[in-house]
Amino acid sequence: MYKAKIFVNYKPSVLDPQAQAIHKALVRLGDDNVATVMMGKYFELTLTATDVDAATAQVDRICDRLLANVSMETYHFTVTPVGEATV
Amino acid sequence: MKAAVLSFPGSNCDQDLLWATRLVAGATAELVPASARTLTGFDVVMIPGGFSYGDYLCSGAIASLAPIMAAVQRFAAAGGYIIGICNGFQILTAAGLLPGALQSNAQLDFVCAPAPLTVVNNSTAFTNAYADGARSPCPLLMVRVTTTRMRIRLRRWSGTTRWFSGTNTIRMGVRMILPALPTVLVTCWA
Repeated sequence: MYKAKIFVNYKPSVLDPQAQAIHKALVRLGDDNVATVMMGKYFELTLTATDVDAATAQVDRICDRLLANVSMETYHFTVTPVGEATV
Repeated sequence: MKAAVLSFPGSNCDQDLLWATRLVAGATAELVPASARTLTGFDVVMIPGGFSYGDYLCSGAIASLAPIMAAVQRFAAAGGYIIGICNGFQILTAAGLLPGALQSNAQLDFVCAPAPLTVVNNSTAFTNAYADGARSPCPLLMVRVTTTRMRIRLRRWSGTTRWFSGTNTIRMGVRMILPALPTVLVTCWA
């Protein structure tokens, strides 16, 4: 069994009004030293696979096909066997 | 003419579209659930507005993988006529039948206002009842993700059918530019 931890976020070139709204709210809270805010999505998948390479390839395909809209978003992920300590 | 009005879990304008097609357009229309796998016998496919699958993950993303969409892809590849309204527009984009992607309005405003449209190509199935250059107000109800920043793009599919995707500026000036033989019409109308 493998566990994938996946982060999906907008490419830097894409305008993100939600992140901007959050940033403005932080400034109103007094946290005006916050320079940038980036908002993304986080997914965790557990899956069976023959080995870590197979799991990685499948997770990559899953990200490309569904979890990320690759015309606007990028993704990165880690895949580790379940039971091992993960970062 | 027989129209298929698709209905996904969360579609909320399917009954309205059915009503409008039957009573206003006077056409035969049938509700086709997302679980169906065939569109045999239909001349036009209409995808209504709403919040299919709760807009989960991304508007239209999960709907684009519903069982009926394989039939929609085949229907489009064969040159069938498709109308996508609001969430229907999003579903067609998520399904790759339209290029690009949709983003939130920059001001995060909900926009409800008519947008002036100019018909610049009236030799298409959808616009041949308009005089060239005719102006038509288009009611817009932009909830969250509607505007694209990209320019008009044409895309060929199987060498026969061409799509278009409209731009919509923040100031609501909209120009509808259709290629010579489009069979896909999308709008931001609710």
